[in-house]
Amino acid sequence: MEFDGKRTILLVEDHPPERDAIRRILVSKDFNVEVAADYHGAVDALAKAVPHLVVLDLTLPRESGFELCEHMRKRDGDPRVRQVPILVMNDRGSPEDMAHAEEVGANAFLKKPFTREKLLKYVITLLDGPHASRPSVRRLRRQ
Amino acid sequence: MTRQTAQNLNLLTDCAILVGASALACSVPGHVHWHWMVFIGMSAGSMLLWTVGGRVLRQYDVWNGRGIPGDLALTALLLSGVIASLAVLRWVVPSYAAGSLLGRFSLVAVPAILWLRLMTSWLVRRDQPDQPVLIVGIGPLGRHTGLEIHEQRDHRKVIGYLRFADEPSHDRLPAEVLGLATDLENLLKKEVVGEVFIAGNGDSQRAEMQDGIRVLERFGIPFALPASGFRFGRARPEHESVLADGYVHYVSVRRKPVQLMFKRVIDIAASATALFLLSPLMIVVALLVKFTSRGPVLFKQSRVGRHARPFNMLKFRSMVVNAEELKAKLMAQNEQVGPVFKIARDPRITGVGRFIRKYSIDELPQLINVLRGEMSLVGPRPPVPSEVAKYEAWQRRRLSVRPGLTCVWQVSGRNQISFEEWMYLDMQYIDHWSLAQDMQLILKTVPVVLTGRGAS
Repeated sequence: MEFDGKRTILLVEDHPPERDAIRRILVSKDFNVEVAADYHGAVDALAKAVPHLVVLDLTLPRESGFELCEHMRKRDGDPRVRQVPILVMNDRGSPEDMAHAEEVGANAFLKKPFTREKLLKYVITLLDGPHASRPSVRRLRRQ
Repeated sequence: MTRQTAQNLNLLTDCAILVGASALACSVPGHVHWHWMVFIGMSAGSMLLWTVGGRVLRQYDVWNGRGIPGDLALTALLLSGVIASLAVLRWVVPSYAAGSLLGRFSLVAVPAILWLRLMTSWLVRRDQPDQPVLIVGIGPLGRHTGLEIHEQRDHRKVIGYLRFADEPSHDRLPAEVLGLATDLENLLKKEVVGEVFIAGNGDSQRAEMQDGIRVLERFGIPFALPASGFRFGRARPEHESVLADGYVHYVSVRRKPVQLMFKRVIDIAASATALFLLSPLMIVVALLVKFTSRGPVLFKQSRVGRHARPFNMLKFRSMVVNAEELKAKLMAQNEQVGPVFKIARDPRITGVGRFIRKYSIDELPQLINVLRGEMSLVGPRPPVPSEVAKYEAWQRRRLSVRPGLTCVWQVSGRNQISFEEWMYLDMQYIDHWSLAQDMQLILKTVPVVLTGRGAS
């Protein structure tokens, strides 16, 4: 994978139509989008390259998005992965769901369905806002 | 445009409809000449009645505490009142074919005004006061709960947070932290709270949560507990709507919405009928009160209504004008144990006052409070603010229902029971409320009032 100056977002979503729709929105804003369909795909992708942001569906086929959050925030994990902001998406968005997501280390919660504008607002806030990881870890790891 | 201006515009439009309806009613098809006298009488009369009636019934207040059905019912009632009064014109204006004229008038005015009222009901709803919500717990759950309520804009407002003892202070909250979870009881005595969200952890904060629940049950304040405390990836509650916000909601006083709706319908119908039937008596009493002592006919007293919202309770004045000042001097002679003031031979009562109090005629203007929706026919008597300030925790529950003209206490022998017993009876009434019991209490009140038994 070549670093071309674009920021990379890892999109984890199992449902192909939604995945494509979200990917298109992100690509249109000049983000480099990597996709994974489930927990294992995401773990592999994270091992290959550290993205600037993870956009994660909580409802995944086997392990849930919560578990991916836990994996990323693991104390003995890759310190650069631990810094990557996580935007979780879910169709349920009760305060309790949001609290749980926060407890496992997600940085923002986006309730489905959402608009293009809202998604981009969240993505940009997470990349440039106070939660954003430091510049030193922003660069992609070359494999 | 302020909200009151909007409501005034609403009144103006209603009046315009009345004039328009009068004009249409008077322009008889086939007849060339126009009944000027009838038109002027009809439009002026209907506007006058409408404005006075609307004012008395609080139709154009920014917020009158009624729902849309109740509001429409009262509008319909007011319209029928106006039309019935117009029928009287038959005897005043000779060339006035009342039947067809009124028919045409009603055909235009009734649907137009009701439609307008329905269309502008959002005006009233928008001004509905926010339901105050308190959140116990300032962890992620408490914070997200507050943010969610804040974002929903559904007439709820987070008035503050209470913190569990093991929680560090936090600054990203949508409302102020008012104290510790253990301060709940003291806070509820001071603040009006509609619902409490207990955003705690059932393991580590169990004891504090349980204490909170106990306090809330005694106050009769609805509360919500986190639905599960567990995390789900895929699973969803089968009955999603029940747990829409992730909380299970509890009430200590069971709501019976259908029965309550009937209660309100009965309140409106019965108080309107009673006001109509008793109007000759009330006019005579009003004149007697006016001309036997100095001061106004009606005595407006600030009372505490449902959800601790104050309102003006109406009575025929039965005391001298400076009665409230004299009360302080007479406090030593109080015969009622507790925060209520009552003495048998109260020197502040006027001659007419003693009579109308004996037969409870002084309470009749409260039928207007019932029509307005501030009171009900049956319910705990509305307390004065100073009484509420002295209430024990469990006695605050009285404020969870509409106050009424009569209740268990009033038919039980009136002043001959203690304050404690009185509160106890009211609480039982609230907990076991049913329409059938209300009917029984009304029937029992009639002989008590007619014989003047037990009254002071």
